[in-house]
Amino acid sequence: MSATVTAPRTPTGRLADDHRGSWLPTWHMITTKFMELRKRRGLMVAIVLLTLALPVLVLGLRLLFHVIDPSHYGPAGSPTVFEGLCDPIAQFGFIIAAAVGATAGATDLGEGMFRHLVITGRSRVALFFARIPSGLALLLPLVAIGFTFMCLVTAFEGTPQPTTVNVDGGTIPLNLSEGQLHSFLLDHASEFAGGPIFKGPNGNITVGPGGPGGPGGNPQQFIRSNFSGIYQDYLDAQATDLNPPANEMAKIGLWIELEVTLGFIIGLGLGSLTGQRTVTVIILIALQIIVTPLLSGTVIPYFLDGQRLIIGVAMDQLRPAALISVTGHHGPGRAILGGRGALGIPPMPTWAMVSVIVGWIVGWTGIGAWRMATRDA
Amino acid sequence: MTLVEDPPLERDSEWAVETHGLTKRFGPQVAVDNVELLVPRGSAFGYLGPNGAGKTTLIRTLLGLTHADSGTMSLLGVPVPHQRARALARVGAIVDEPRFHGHISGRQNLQLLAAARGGGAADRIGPSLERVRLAERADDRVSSYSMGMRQRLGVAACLIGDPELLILDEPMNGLDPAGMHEMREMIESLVAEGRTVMLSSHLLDEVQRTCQAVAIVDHGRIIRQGPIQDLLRTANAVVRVECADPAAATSLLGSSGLAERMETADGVLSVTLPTGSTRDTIAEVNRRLVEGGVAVYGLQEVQTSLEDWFLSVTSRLGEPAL
Repeated sequence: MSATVTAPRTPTGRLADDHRGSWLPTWHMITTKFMELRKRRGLMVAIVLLTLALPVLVLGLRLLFHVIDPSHYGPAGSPTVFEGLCDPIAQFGFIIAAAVGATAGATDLGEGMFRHLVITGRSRVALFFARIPSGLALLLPLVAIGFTFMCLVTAFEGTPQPTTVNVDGGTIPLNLSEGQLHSFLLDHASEFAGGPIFKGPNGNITVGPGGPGGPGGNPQQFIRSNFSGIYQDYLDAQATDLNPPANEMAKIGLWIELEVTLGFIIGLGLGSLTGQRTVTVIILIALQIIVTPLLSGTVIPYFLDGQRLIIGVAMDQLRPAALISVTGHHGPGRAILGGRGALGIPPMPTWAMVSVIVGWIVGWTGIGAWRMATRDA
Repeated sequence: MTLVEDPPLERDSEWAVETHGLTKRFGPQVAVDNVELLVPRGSAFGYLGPNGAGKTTLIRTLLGLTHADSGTMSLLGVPVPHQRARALARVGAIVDEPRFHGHISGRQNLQLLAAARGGGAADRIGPSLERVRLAERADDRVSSYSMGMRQRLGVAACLIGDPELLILDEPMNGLDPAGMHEMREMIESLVAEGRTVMLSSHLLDEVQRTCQAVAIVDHGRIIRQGPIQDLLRTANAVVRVECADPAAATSLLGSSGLAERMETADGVLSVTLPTGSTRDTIAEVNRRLVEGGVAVYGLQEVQTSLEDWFLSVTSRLGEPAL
């Protein structure tokens, strides 16, 4: 039996009619979350080591050695070193970004802060979305600084740049676009006729004045039918002998930043879903260094479309042209950043590749936001 | 299963917390069972129950930390979860042990919460830290805080929202006697400012000293609620009888119908009188004993404490759970 409860009348306080139900985070939510992530010392050390320290250390030592003993040690920057650094930065960038994403997605819950945040009445989706710009603001500038340092050393402390490139024995001016190269070869077909450049892809077809396979052949016809292979040889030769031009460097930088963004978003979504930082990071490392190389290197019968759904496969296809030679193999596809992909499997159409990348971003963002909105706090 | 439906309209309710038929299940187990709770505005309200009775689950449900299975609820007259964001704008709460990011300072943790709250919450960080006497350690990492300091930081986190309603789940946990005294004073001062404090606690003595009204929950159900004095009045009176022959006294009173329960300890007989007994009943006990030839040296009515009453009405009587 309940006794009577008297309710002393007090003035009703004004109830806030603000926008805390909105799914858009405020600027202060983003900056304070950035501060919370930045204060994690271990995480920051790992980010700096994997994104900034690697190029600074490698190129810094090369600069130092070159200054001390230039007769034994060449210039610090070279196309080979540049390309050789890009891949580790992209790989490590993805992994550290996944770790930052998992931290942003799981630690509020694990450290008991999520409950306090929910009790503020702020939309849980807004709480989730605040993590995206905060985490990216931490990662992208550091990656950009490391990459810019690489570009500067390569451009200004690198090997002297030739003006022509030798392709299969033929001398061709640098930095021709695909169309320009095509025109150049056609214009100079007679100069190259009989040279090694007119050997076919397997090197056995001799093109003489009489054309491929024998007298009477037409070198211009051969150029048209084999241009794809010649162009790739031209790109490879440029990538090996020359620093990438500024626009190619910009493409590589954007590609690495996209790789880092993807790592962060996937880590954030998976971290929010599982609520476990360590498990998330282990899964994504396995995805990046085991699953992706396996699925992008070998065609699995009847599973090709499944292989193409892996984010690393799509990103390999998007790989900029200037980064292709370092992988030692390239696929026949074309991609929006000018590359032909480093795939060991037949490429997918460009629209499919873009869909896979966008799908991973949107999908993991949606999964993370949904889990945040429905999770018991 | 009934779906959770919100009252259609917000109203200027006299209740800070109001629930009707609120139910929350975890699989087959009913953690909150058809709860009808009314917490009056502007008072300190104790929410009591044995371990596992469903106290924290009800608080979590009220705050939208978990979903109810059925029933209606409102905070400050605003239906939740329908207008949860609006209601929680004027609510501060500590649920379970207060935990924060350990790698940043107490002040920085509050900055995170203030950013989520918006409004003038950021401006209230300093005064809130002062009020809970944590200003000197506010810039230290939370990982270096004691349990009591984290409790106080939890209260500061509530205060930055300038709440009209505070829901505090075991706020005395981890506090030393001085800290408990400070917390009690703080709650009293918050109530004096016109705020409502809903306090869940195991410490019945503290609740009795701090709160004007209580609700008792057991097995997910509210079994009693109301002002403490009214509830204690309904408790059975207990009389301690010092006499020459407790065994003979027990025999006499047992056959008289004047005692509901009797216990003898250290030669003193404790007699629990039937519900509704008055001071005349005590006189009648004395008369029966004297007429039965038992020498009575003293009779003393024992003041029923909240703890005694709590144990008598909950199913955990005799268990050392508290």
